[in-house]
Amino acid sequence: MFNELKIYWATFNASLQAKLEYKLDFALGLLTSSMLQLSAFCFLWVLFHQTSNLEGWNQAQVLLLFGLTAMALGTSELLFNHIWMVPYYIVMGDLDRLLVYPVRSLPFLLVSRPELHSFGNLLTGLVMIVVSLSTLHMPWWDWALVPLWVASGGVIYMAALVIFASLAFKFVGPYSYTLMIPHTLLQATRYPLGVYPPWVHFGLLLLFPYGIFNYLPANWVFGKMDSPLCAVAAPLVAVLFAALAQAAWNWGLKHYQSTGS
Amino acid sequence: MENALTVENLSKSYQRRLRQPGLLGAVKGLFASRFEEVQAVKGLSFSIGRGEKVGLIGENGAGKSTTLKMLTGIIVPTGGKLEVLGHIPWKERRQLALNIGVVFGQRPQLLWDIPVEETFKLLKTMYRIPEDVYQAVYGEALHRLGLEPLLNTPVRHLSLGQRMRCDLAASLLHAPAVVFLDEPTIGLDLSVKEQVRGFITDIQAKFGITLLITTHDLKDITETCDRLLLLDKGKLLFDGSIRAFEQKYASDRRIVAETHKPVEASAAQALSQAVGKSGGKVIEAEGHRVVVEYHEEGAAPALIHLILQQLQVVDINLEKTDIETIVTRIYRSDTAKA
Repeated sequence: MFNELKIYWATFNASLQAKLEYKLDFALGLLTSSMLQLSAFCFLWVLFHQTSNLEGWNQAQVLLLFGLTAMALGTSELLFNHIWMVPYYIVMGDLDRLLVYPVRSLPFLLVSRPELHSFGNLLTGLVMIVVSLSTLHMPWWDWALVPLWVASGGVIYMAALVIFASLAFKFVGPYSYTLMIPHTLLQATRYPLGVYPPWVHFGLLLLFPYGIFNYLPANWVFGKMDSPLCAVAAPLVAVLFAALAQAAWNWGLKHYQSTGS
Repeated sequence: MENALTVENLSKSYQRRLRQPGLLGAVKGLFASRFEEVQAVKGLSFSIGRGEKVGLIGENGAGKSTTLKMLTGIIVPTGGKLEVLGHIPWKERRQLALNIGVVFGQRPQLLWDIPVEETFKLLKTMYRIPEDVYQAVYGEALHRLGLEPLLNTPVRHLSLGQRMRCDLAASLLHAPAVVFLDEPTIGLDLSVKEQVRGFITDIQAKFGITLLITTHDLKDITETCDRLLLLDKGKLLFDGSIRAFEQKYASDRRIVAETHKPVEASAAQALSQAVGKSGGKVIEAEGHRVVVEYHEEGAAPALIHLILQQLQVVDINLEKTDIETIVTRIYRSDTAKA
């Protein structure tokens, strides 16, 4: 187990180093992703010019949702972004090369192509979280929960992508856009789930459990919900969802057909 | 001899989507697809002993790659049994991968973005390669395949020939017990082909590797292998030594003589009668050229003697059908039947 982690770390390390060679690429990635986050923030700013609260949430509070979502997205992009290539690899039969190595194909694939624009999302996300939480006077141990929520969010989002990518094994074809579904839904959780109709609200807590790492913890931080479960449910759900993703991947591999020669 | 791999009644069939023509057809296909079943491999059985060097040939679509992918655990067979180094490939893919090396000539294996040298280091960690084995193979590969100038280049910047040499080195770094090479010389120029074959032969001998090569270039096989498997439409058509293959399919040998003067009809007839008694047959006697065909091994000296006796010969050559011609002939007769 330890040895395997060492392999994944070495793979990630070498891939990241290789990516960092391209300095312009890095700068542009940073700029683009920060701009995307900022434009979303501008929309929020305009929104709060019209109204002082959104289903009982003020601007600083919504900013925490924005920040957690951006950082979870950034974490997933940094560590697991290679998953986006999978539908393409399946169609081209390019998964063969991963399957000749003596390692678990899923984690090996995930870590072998880090995305540099993730740093933009991580950075803007961090600023938003800090700005939002400084309005409160939280004890330090509450701050310590933030990385846990972010990491859980990164894993939950990754797992959702893996599950959708695994479908491509069986249904090979023009379906690579299916990965946009978990992506778009993640962006939707930047707003308090109360603004959505109940089926969307609960869909984003149970089916695509993004709300577990941003909405529930924010509710707890701002004293809207009291149960401490809101604060610690995220890592549990992350582990569960990751296991589900691995199962989906294994199911998919059995249906992998590769291509001629 | 202990078996490195055993295949018993192995088969694989695919579901292939049937496409309807045109854009309208494509749109219809989105809603209701029809599938057809393609049998790529049908009841294949063979075994390979440790240290054997085996070439697998067959036309495009004969099932070579599919077989290789089942042996390496990449795809799951539809039926039959297979075992490689005591493992069932698709069930115990990772354990098996530690002890085999795989190269797909058509597909790059190394990670795209990472420089070659980093990849080698990564592989060393991944396979837990002992330092002495690593140094031995790595040193040999650098030297024999001329990798030194490529070490700092990311894989995607390499040319096909360069990439192939790196892939080959990478797949052998851990001195695997069994090596599968799928078209290892495809698209390479003649000198690189020679380089690659030489390296394969040496490393094979050094570590006693079991080798299975699929290829369309039969020189890959005649230069590195002892045994030949011929696949045809997913079935085994021949399994035996290269020599046995030649004897079975290329029994026709020829003596080609060039004469000083044009051969006269009467002389040709006399020769025809004489060689007929020694198991030969004149199949051509025109101008300065006489061709005698025979089948029995060892008939040549007597026939040459007769030709030299009866004609004034300036040059004489023995011709044997080369393996490439034989294989082409087999493929063609097969297509004619189909």
